[in-house]
Amino acid sequence: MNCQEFLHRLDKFVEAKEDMAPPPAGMEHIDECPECKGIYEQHILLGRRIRALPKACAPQGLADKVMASVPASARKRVLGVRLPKLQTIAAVAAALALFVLPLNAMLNQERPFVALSDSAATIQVEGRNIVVPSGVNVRGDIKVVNGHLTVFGSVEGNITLIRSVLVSGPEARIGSVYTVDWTLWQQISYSVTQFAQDVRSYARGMWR
Amino acid sequence: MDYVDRVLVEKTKLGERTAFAELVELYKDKIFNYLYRLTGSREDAEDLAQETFLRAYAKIDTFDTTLRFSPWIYRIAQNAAVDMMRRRKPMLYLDEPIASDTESGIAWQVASDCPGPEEQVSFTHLKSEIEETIMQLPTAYRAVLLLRYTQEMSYEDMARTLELPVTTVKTRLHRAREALRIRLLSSGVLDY
Repeated sequence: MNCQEFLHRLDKFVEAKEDMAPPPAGMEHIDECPECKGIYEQHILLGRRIRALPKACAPQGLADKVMASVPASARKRVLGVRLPKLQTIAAVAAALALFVLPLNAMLNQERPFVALSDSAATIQVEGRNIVVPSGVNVRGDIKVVNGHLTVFGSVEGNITLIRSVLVSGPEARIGSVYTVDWTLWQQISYSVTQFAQDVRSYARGMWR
Repeated sequence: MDYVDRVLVEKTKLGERTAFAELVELYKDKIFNYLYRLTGSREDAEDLAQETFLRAYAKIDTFDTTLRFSPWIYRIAQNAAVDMMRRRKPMLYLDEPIASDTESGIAWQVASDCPGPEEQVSFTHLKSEIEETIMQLPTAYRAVLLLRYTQEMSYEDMARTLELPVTTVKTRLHRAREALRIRLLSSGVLDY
């Protein structure tokens, strides 16, 4: 290694020395070059000299001045930040209590229920069992809650099954089947959709 | 220390002023010393130290406690010093890239754009030659020398403090030392 190469890598040699790491390859150059050795040692010395500079201590009272300037209402500040969060949590809790939980209870009730939009259709209802007999055509929708729907005839509209089972005969003709699984979000979604439909129907009725 | 810092920061985030007071107590000397060596003025260092802690308190919620607190508070101190220097002398930017950093050879900047110690320093003790000479270096060089040798920072922490890559920090440190060496040689403090 010549002087130029050594000086080019000088920072590596100094760094290794400062970090007490093994000397990198090429370090032996200083054994044969007093000039490079001098520069290297001056770099090491400078680090030591700077380290040895007297420490300037903070003036007395600095911490007090800082703390006097820190907003005294630290707790208030925290509350200020967190209050909206608390309000949000409270609002969500209230919504749960007022809307979701009753809805959940309502939808989870065991009472079977069937709704027909075509009131002229003749269907059979016995307990939880609802049957659309062969030859019967339901022109509208059927919604079943907690029931067992068997279709031998035809349903032109949609069938909505809420915690219900559908069995269809070989001749049955059915439109779309909409099944509501009982995740909370689906209950909410279903309820909101139904509510919107009811509002729309009501508004149409008022308009007419 | 990291653990203590983390606990104190967490408590401060929860609104415990006493925890922040402990952080101030832990760091006031280090931050003051750094700012004093950086600015050369006790008055400036005191003002900047106060500003540093107040900024830290205001931003404490943004501090990621998975990281080390020390580089974070030093960075705030550094930025406070940068802001002050910008206000006083628009040509002096600590975060301004040094032209020689990108060059392959060793180079240094003349100190003519740095305020002389007489202009800004209120001496409370007679400064040594080396202190005087450090004050004449460009502030970016001064910062790396101080962080490395007076604050005993690792290269990684220096990089976080100065928001520079580690390789740039190492290069800058080497050039700062070389600039200091040349100046001390020319003033006869170091011998050839």
